Amino acid sequence: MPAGDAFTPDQLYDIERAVRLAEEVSGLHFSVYVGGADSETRPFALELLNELDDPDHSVLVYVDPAGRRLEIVTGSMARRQLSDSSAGLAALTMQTSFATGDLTGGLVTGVQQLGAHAHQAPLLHANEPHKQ
Amino acid sequence: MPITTKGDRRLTPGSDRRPEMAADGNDPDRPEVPRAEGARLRIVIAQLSGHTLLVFVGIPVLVIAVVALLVFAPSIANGPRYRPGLSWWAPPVWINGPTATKPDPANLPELPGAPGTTATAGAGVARTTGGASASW
Repeated sequence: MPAGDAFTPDQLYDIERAVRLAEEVSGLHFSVYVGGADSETRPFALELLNELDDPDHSVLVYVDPAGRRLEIVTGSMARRQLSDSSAGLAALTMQTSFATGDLTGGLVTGVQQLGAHAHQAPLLHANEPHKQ
Repeated sequence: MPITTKGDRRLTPGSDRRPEMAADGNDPDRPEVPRAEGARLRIVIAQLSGHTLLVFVGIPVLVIAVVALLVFAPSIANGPRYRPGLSWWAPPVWINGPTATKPDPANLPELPGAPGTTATAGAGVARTTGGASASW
């Protein structure tokens, strides 16, 4: 296969915009990693999550195009907002696009869906009790 | 008075083609023998002018080239596309990754420290993290 980048600048812009929108909607930190894994995908995705600035409030989407594997890892606090079933639905959406070769479309749709599922209506009181 | 020699025939108007046609060995009064298709095709091609070739060959080739360019232009502009089942060629990409250190995927397995520590930390995180997996 010829060498080159995984995404064009326009595709990167679309993914980054979807990530920003998901962060604004949910308040969580979203990160997307596309590449191969040196080991099993799940432990590797957990290592990537631990490398983030705030792993507890982060959601990592790991895609291994060569191994055709997808991992969505949610931090301990992010898991309260984004349940495993919701992550499974987003994974199913991304899986459908990835199977047709549409990496960008799958990532954009999946991240948007993750952000929508993680959205919580703001509470006017007792929203942040630790600051009261 | 015209000078004539022995065996010479007096040329009359309209009779100047007779000796030329007789040179082929064919009797001009008899119909011509059909020539081979290849020879006939060569004669037709030789008679085609450059303008005819331009109209009947150049324009179709140009139209085909334009259509082919329009079809393949998007793939040429976007580069190689991901095809499931084939090898992945691109280097890893980490979007919205850690801001403290520049992500270098080649060094990622070495960053957490000792392998034993990494395994313990990974197991600890695995108890509290969630998510989902899929394959295609």
